[in-house]
Amino acid sequence: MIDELLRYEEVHYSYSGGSPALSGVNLGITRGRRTAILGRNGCGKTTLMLMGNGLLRPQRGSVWFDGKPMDYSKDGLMQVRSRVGFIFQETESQLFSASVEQDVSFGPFNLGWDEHRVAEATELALSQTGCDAFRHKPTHHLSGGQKKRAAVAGVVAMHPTIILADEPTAHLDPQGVDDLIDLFTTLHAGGMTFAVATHNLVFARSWFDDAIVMSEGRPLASGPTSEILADTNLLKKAGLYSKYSGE
Amino acid sequence: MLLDDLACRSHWRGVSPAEKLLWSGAFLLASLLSRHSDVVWMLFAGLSLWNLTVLGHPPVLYLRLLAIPALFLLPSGLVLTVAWGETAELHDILWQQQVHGSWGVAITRETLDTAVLLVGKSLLGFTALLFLTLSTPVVEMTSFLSRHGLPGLVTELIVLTYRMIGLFAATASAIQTAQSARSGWVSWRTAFRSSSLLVFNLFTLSIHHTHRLSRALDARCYQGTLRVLHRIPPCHTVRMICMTLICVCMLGWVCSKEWGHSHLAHSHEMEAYHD
Repeated sequence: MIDELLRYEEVHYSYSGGSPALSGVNLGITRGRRTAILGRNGCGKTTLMLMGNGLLRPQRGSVWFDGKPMDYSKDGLMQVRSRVGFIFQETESQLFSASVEQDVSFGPFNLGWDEHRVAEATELALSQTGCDAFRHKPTHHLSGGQKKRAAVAGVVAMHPTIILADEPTAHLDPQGVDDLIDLFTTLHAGGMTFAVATHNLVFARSWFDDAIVMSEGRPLASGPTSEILADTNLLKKAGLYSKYSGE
Repeated sequence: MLLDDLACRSHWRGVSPAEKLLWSGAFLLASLLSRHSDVVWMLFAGLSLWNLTVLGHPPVLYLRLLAIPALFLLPSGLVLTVAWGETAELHDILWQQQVHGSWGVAITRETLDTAVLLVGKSLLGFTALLFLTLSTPVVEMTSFLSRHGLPGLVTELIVLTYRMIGLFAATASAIQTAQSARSGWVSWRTAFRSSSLLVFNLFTLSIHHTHRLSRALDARCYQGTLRVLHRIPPCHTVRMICMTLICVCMLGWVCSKEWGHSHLAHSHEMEAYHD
């Protein structure tokens, strides 16, 4: 039996005044696996990810986390968010504090940990993500890659079970992408589940176990990444095929 | 942001904010207590020399920062030097110009002294604060204040405002570059239009930023308070004692000068009365 950590059942969602972002989504994220959520801009990837952290609530259908339907009460959301880490596409908005170390310590404090435990978790997250060298730097002085690392550290410090990342390779140079993948690999080796929204097929091909292809608010296909990405017709249909990149 | 960048690169960044606050506060107090321009200008010169040698910032940049208040203070000082009234009633006139009958404008020893003293006091106060600003990043200052009883709400507001200023500065710079690339600032007319669009866009973006920030905070279990780790450089006991001694000596010297001058003036008054 497949052990699904996150499950979407008949999920519908529309933004006010807009067309449907998600229309009848049924899919699951398997525990311990690396799942890529692929699709062109506006296909509903971000909406799907936000629902995984309880930041959006389905208008119809339900989201299940660890075998239980998501509880949208204050305590219920605290439970979910303490285990589901979210890395935003725009790291500018994720980093709010004056220094990297302060920003990383924010999440653990919210979990009600004492200062000693927070300091330990922050220290570990900073060293795991390679943020040690710029831990005292003001966040607005960081490069794009450093901001991304700091954002990951802020999530890792909370010891989540799963990380949802929305276009984590956006705005990063190739070296930055490599560094980020190395970091994700280390975290995955430690048992972390990943669900990553991306349209970077090179990243998807090289790193993910499973892939879900989205188009117009619903999944078109899902399965092992190698099989999904070998299907050119599927990629063309999902708007992921480029005659220039050869994908 | 420039000041904070400089503070992060300062040679005194690792020094405890308590020591820097003591130093800065002592000079601020001296600027308030002193009523003699020679004392004020001596302290101003000493502190400026200290800032230049100890903090390690380029002298040109430091002088540029000093030029900002000087730009306002010097015209004000010039206005203060000029007295208006019946010139016959004025004493120690250095220069005068009759305007109508016995009325005119004049520069007297007293008005000149007042102007020099006020400009000196203002510059000394500014330099004292500049020392603190150029050596202590906002993050350390807020941590220090938070540890020493500043309400959490105030600290959070400072931190968020500081972060938003950084974001807006970057956004405004990006918008301005994009406008310049399309000839948005070539004439007064286009510059006016571009600046109004820039302000409007910043307003819209600030709403988006607020929304995104709120969502990002919620994603990390935000519960109404922005609690974070505060790291403050430790106090160096020997240096703290030395700085305290210097501050006490300096303030003692300022007070003795003040008392000496008052005492001398009182003696002169008494002699004149007896004569």
